[in-house]
Amino acid sequence: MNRTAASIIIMCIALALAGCARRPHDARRAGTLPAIYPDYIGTTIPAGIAPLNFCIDSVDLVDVEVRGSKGGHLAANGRWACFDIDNWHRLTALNAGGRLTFSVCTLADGQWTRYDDFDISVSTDPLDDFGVVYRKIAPGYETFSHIGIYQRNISTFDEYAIVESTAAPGQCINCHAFRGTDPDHFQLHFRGLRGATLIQTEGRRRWLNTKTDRTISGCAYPYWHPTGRYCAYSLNLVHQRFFAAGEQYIEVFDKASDAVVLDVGRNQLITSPCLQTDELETYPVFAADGQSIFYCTSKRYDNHADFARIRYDLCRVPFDAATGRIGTRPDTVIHASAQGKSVTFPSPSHDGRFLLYCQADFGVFPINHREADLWLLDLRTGLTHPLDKANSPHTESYHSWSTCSRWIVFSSRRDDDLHSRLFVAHIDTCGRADKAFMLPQHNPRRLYDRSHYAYNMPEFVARKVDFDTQAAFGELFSDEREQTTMRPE
Amino acid sequence: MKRLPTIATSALGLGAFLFWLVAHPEWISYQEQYQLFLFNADYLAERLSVAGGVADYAAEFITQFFYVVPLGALLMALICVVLQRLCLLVCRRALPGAEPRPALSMVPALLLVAHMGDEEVLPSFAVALVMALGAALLTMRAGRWRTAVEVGMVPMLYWAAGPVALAYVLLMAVHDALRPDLSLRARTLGGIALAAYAVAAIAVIAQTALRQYPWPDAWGGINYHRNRLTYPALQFVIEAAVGLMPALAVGLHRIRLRHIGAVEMSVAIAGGAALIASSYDRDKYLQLRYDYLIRFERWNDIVRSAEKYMPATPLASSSVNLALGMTHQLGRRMFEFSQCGSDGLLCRFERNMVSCVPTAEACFRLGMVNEAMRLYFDSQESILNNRKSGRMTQRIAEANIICGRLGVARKYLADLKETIFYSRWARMAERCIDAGDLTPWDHIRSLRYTTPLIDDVDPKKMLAVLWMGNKDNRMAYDYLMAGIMLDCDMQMFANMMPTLADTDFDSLPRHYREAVAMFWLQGMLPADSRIAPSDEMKRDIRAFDTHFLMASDRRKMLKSRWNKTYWTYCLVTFPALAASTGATTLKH
Repeated sequence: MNRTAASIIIMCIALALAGCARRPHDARRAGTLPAIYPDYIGTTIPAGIAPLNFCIDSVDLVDVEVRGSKGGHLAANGRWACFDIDNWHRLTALNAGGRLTFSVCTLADGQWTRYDDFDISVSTDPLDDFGVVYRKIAPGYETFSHIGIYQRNISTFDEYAIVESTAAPGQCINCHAFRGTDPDHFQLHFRGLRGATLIQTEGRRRWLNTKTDRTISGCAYPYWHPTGRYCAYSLNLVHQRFFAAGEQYIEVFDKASDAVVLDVGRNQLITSPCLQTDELETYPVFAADGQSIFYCTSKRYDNHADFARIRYDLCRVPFDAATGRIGTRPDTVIHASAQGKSVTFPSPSHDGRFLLYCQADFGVFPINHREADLWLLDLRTGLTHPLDKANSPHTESYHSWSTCSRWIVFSSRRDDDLHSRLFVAHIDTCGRADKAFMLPQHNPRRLYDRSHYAYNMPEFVARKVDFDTQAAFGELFSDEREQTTMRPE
Repeated sequence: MKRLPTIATSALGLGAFLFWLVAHPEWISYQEQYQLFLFNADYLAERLSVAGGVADYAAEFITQFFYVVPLGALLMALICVVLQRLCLLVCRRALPGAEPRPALSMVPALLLVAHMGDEEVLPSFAVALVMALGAALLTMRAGRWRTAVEVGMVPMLYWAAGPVALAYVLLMAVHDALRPDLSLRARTLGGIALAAYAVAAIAVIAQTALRQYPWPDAWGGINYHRNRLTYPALQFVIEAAVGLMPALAVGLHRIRLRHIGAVEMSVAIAGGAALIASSYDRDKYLQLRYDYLIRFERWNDIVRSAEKYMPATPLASSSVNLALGMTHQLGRRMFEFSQCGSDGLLCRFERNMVSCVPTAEACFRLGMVNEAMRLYFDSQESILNNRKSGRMTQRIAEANIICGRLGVARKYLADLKETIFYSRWARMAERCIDAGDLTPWDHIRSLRYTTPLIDDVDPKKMLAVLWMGNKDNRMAYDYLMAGIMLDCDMQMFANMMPTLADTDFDSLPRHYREAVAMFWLQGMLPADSRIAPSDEMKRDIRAFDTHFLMASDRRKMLKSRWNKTYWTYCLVTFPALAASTGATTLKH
């Protein structure tokens, strides 16, 4: 039995005890939009997404009627707006390219209140992926208790654990990555006494020890080559500083970092002089065509007190997938440091048109930077712009593209300034973002108020990830590892 | 002797109650502080989603009352009593028509108390044992439905109580093996079939419903021990003792000797006492005791305890130093106690749930609120079985309130509001936030750093900044001076000497006077210094110096009349530290 099943049983009992629905009557007009949580007003959603259930604080009942501009309607009445999944899917499918109008009434202290209607647009761009894979971890400092990698069906509210720390006690689990959105090529790091990099390709698991005597660390931030033959990694010596006072209370930075490419089949690391310099190189990612590598690079400061001077530019270096050779002459794509900014988390769209990245005032780890925003680089024109409609005054951080490259999922701290939540935004063909919506939850207020987890590293997956946790546990604790080597020059 | 079972039960109950109330109240507090029982459906669902969850939920429900230590001791004693009475009932079932002697029935309870000497053993195991025995007694009453009850009971009990279901299986098999109304073949095959069925049922459950747990957890228990993948041998011994109880009862009953009851009882009590005594490590429990006393701010009790004996560890030193700091005795008495350098003042962070708690408490009281919050958070995150802590959650909420992160604070308060013992405080805190009235935390707010700054690796620098920001923060000053002296940092002490100048030398705390005397003897006291040692102090340090230079074995100095002085700490206890700061000798 999993937690979901147990929750459903308890919820059924609670529902059986609940009273009958009451409908609005003699409602007074508020003359304002309802303060719904999450804020879905004016967002753009894909057809087939899970129902946008929402809550309104300090009311006894919520009554909602949804009408489609192309037909159909749907109603919800209860402690929060909770829509039937099948009916919701039918309504959104019918209204793709149109809009849904929400009429909301609330009951508080025996008085019904009617709010102004609001709209949500339904895009014609489909989001056909199965769901999103993310990690849940309490946002903290140096330790962690329960963490896990989960996959969420974005058409429903179902969440499945891929691997939790209960299965690998004492291990930190991080950096899940897929080839594009293909779950058949999957990588994951286990950190700790029995640390290893797990590579799962088409159901076969391999456990690698990627630290070599010629590299500064084991492999860290991953990115698969479109062919699945290679995986780019950064190598990082990570350091943390804590703030004794002030708004920010932690800064994560690299004392040293390089970038490499792993030839997955041969278990060999490939490098290039331009990716292993005395400066800092990190977050290598392959271009959508696989013929170049984007990466971030910054000047290195030996004095750790200078961490606020570390600013990353975005560079690009050619890559030959046939030979596995990395070019030696990089180009600077975004010279952010010249503008006093730092570029991190580059992520090319799968259609090769755009590159999404984070921009902050400094540093390599934007999650702790309130000013961090999402920016988009048009790879055809070389122009960049912030995703104003998707951004917020709070932190925007890790992100990834859907298979069709019209949707992005990203983590943001806009909810409470500490716990990152997942948001989905539509990107049109010109690279303009619509207002992002929080990944729908069955009862968002209850879930997020009670949860002490941050949701990070969201990655779209086209299909459900198949992972045998118990078999993986046996292998993890067997200590059998394939030693990664450096490819001879 | 009809009353012997009652007397035995009463003695066990009273003994267990006094044991936990008087000898080891810290055990009770320790169990409570590393869980946070919440009255909500999600919490229940989370517990029930793993094998052993019902026992775990029940145990955590009981453990929350350990917040009141005497109540906790009473509840633990009750668990022992219930366990013993259930064992006695099992013995009676095995000996129809005869009254079993009670000594045997006490053995699992005594073993359990000894087992809990490992402080990470959870009360869930005790509750699970009780459930297994209860299930066995119910099954024994099932009559002709017994086989059907066993078939249903094994998976149900496994899911409710965990792998103690195997003790149930053993108990039922042994009980059946002793039944005279069954043939040998039926007894043997019945036992084997039940065991095989249990193994198969558990294997299927583990494979299908416990996919996020390693295979060994399915057999050793997920919630019996706080440390994951740890299954102490004594756990299996207790399970075996419960499972074999009918056979042991029959075997012992056949021994017919004079005073055998008294002999058995004596052996059980003496053996139990010896085992329990050896299971509770003195130093470890003393450190847990300090933490318990810190939690309830019993500073003088810590000092009194340390006066008798204290372990020489940074954790113990940081606890005693906090008690001295809170009672303004650091400068006067800190070198009367075992010290471990500045690590024993504010411990360096270690990834465990215990070692930094006294440091977090000290930081909180000093006004180093971010540091305190980090240590509380990381200590909570280090709880071995991923649970939360009421005590730490409360502190994290407070720290967030003090730092003005009210939204985050509300999140923690929401949790605390769903508890019995923390909800009152949480509601008060929430009312304060709602009203914008943070006066309960005004004192700590006034001690905080005033400008944003990065934590320095040297806590002395942070203490200096803290004290400079608010010179009324006397604890920060005491800690700063203590840190300087513990590091034998004579240069920094010299820098701080002007802060002593306004006080008459004889009114200075003793250890400050000793440090000033060291400067004087080394001729490093500036001629225009407004502070100078008294004649008596000069005589004393000269005598120490002579003694120190002549002593063939300097360890003997530790037993001399100067053993509780700063001089001995610097030059005998930590000569290497002193050497690094140029304080190896007094004369030059």
